Amino acid sequence: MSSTEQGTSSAAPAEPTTAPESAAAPEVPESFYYVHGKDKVVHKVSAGALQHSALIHGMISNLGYTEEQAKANPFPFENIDGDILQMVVDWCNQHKGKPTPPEDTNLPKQKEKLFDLVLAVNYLEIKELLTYCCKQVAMMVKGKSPEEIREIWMIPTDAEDEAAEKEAKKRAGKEAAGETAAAAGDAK
Amino acid sequence: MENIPEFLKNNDHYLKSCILYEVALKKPIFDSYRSFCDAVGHDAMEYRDFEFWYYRFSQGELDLDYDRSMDPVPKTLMDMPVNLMRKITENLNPFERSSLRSTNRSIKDLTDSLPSVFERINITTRAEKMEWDLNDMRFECNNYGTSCSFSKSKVTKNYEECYMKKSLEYLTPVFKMPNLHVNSLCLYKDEKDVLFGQRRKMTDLDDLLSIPFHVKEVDIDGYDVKRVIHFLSYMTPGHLESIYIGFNRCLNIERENFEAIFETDQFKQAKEVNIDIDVKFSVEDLVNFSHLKRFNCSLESDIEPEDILRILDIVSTFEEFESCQMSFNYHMHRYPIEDVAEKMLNVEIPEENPEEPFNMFTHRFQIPQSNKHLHFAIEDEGHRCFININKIQ
Repeated sequence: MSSTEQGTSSAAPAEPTTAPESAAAPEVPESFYYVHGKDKVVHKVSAGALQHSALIHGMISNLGYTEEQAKANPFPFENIDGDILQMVVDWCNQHKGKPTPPEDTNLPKQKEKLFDLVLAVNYLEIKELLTYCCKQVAMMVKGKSPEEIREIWMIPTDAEDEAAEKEAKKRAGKEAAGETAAAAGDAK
Repeated sequence: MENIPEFLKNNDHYLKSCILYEVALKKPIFDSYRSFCDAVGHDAMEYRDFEFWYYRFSQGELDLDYDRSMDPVPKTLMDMPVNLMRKITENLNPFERSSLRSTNRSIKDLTDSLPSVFERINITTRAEKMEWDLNDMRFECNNYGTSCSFSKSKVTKNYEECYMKKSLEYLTPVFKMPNLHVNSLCLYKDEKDVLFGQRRKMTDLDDLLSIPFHVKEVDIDGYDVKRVIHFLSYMTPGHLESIYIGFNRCLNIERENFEAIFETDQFKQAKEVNIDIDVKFSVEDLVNFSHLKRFNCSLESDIEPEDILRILDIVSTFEEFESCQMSFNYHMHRYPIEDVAEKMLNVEIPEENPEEPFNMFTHRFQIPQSNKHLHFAIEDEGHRCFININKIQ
């Protein structure tokens, strides 16, 4: 439930932190917000957990939604896969109001998932999680030869890059020629 | 026997069963892929496909006929935004980066744009071996005449090559790293055998440095003035804050030879300089230190008490000055510190009490036209006196 609904003088949503003032003050109910990813599955997340995301925190701090308004207006993150958003939400919940440890070993080992998580976390601006994710990607590069890195991360060689570039140019040239021919045809 | 890989390769289910077997072994995925390739051939399955099935099986999804045609196109590291690639690369040390750098030109450009930072590089050259530390990694190359043994992380290999040549083969590329930053660099040459003042001929590190790089603190010990200047010339002036120069106590370094070091931009823009006792400066030379925050040097022997007074006058004009230490030898029974005190305080000091010899004197000196002071201290430690001066508010 939002603080606005409770009629408190503070404009900001209640924080579930262990700050000394909040410990002394009468207990303020935690406010919740709703998010969903590409799969439309809605996740209920506390404002405290969402604080990790600079993007969402910036959004909610100006809204002053009531519980009902928040429920009716989940934040849509259509660019994030459902399972990835679930991972992000879980991480935010686990680290709510806690100092983040120096490293996180609980990240996905699967390259594709990790890759999507990095992009999602970067978009949501979750600084600490992004640091862990980038470290994890770096760990997957460490100790590998250039050929192995190329193989794992599907990095084209310079020769492959040049061939692809040539091919793209050729295609662009053909398309341009086609368009010119079509335009000439239209003019007739 | 030879047909087995072909037999496995021709059946999709057999291949997936092999992956399933690798999952059951619980080895790291890339090791599993390697042993999979060794068994069925390197052209059997690309890593990305192997990875897909490996993790699918790891999660208990054992459907061998799963249709992947609707799956999104897999991403490559080239799809990663530049800011994230930078953040990833920052987690790799300069050696780990070199593999990534060699994969592709665009990645090379990106890694080269980031500084390659070494906290510490120490290189020690001896007639019998050369050893070096790159951060926490230790390398050693022993001299066996025309051959050598090279050790790296407890692994030793022998080579039919001169030990210096072999060492430089490893070290030279480090100093060719683009955008190289070294916080602390130590170049130490340890030569014990000195015959009639002549140093034994030993190949030097003249070809080690070839492009300018950033160094914050450098310690060059045991090299002659010409080589000190050669090394310094590759270190970006202004970035180099602290310079320590020693001559390993056996080079006959004349003060005149040192003049050339004063003239380098690296010296002129440094903040802190320590010069080992091999070089003895006159009081007049101290003006060369006027830009420094801190310095440490040796003075000519048997310096007169009047000259010590002049030191204070000279140092008080240094605007950046914070602290210094100077020392000098004397050849008399004891150094007349009371004479220094008398001249500084302009008062007569009573006769020395043999019970408590006057071997230390401190003085607070007001810097002319300033509210700041210099704390001066001179102490006799037997045949050598130490002068410490600190600026105080």
